[in-house]
Amino acid sequence: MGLITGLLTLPLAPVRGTVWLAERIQEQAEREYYDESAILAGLREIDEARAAGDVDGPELDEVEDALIERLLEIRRLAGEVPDGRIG
Amino acid sequence: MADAEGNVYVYGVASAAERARLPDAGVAGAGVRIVEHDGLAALVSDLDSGTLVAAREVRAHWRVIEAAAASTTVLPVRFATVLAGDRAVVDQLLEPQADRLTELLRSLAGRVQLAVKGEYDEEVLLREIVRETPAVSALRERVSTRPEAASYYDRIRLGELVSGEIGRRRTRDQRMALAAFEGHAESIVANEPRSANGAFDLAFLVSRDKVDAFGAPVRALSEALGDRIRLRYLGPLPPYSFVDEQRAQGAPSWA
Amino acid sequence: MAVGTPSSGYLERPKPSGLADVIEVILDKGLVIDAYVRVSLIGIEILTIDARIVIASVDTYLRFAEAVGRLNLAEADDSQGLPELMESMTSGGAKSKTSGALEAVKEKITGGDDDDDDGDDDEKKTPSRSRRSSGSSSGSSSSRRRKSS
Repeated sequence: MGLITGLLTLPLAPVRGTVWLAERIQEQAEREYYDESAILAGLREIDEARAAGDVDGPELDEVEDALIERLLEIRRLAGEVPDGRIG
Repeated sequence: MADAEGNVYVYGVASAAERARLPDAGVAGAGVRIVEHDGLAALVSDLDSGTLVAAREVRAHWRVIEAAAASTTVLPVRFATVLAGDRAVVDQLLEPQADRLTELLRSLAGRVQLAVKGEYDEEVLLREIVRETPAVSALRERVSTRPEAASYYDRIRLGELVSGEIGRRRTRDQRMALAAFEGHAESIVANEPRSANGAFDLAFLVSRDKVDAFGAPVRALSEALGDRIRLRYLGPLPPYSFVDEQRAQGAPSWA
Repeated sequence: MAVGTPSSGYLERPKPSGLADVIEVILDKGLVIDAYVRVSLIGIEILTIDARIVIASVDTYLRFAEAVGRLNLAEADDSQGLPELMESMTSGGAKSKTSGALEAVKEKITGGDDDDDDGDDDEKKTPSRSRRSSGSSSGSSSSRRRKSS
């Protein structure tokens, strides 16, 4: 069941409305965004593709960079990675 | 350019006596060099500018560690650690930690890290839970016979029960995995799996000459787990999980 | 034998470490020096959702209920709901069993991804971000490092 269909079939409690709905969408987006297993799976795919010599080049690097950046973002938000300027 | 004033990126610490193999380039394309003090050698790079492109530098960082660790024992430093110059490397790292770093290098010499990670097959897991938990099975029945609107709270309760069962199984499977490796490693760190379907994430400290033999308990565990959990067996790595101060020597520690 | 065993020897030797295998230890482990200079980590411009990691919540329980409800216990394999559940939980990660996954991953990141909810990220920094209070009473999911268990 897609996200929207799922949300629409939930009964609406008294105070729910668009804000509630927007929050559920936000949660879902976050859950997907921050699910490390997807990010790591993607990184593994890239490793394998490189090892197999299938694909290579800057495009692959770009995707890999973006995935790594997400991992860093997760940790930055959790206060686990330094963030600031030198000096 | 060895700029004693500028900022330096720190990769790790090795023994100064052993000549660690250094790759040509590290983070931000800078060369990799050594800062020595009291028998310790910090592997560093000079940083020209104040910013790093994160993802790229992760790769560069790993290349430096990997190259150095191939030739000697390296105590890896956390990614993105920058100190305010060579003086700071001595004053803030090598000097105050000299005893501990020296001892770590001694105790970790000739040892590597092996990782065993377990991931659930979601479908097998859920089937098993439904099959083995009467409360779940019954509630599932109940939910399936009622219209969705009426079963809202039942569905929450069902999901909660399932979630609890997954947690219990995770604990049990972690214990089982740890037991499988008893006596095969000098030290163990058990991490909380960070992904949704992770069962366990174990790091083992093993001497190099015992790496081959380590395959036997891995295979045995894999067979015992069947199709419930898929194992990944990785390494050898530098002893990343074993440089932490809080870790108790010899006993599994939960990180 | 474990699922997906290509040959009997696949667990004999540890698999040499690709970046994906080591990245977690690189980021999470290693010596920590207290007085380090903070570095500005510039990353690729991607959508920033200003919130904490989501942990188990009422919504997660509903998903589990759904997944369990869709299990077709009469058949041994291939229940419909679970691949979907995995898909939506891992945003394309579950699709990635074939080489088509790289395309899916790229899509997710570079454009037209459905997990970049553009309309939301500006206003949604509500204080009600603390997922911990939203009914996540399951013992195994209270660690902030753990995702919806």
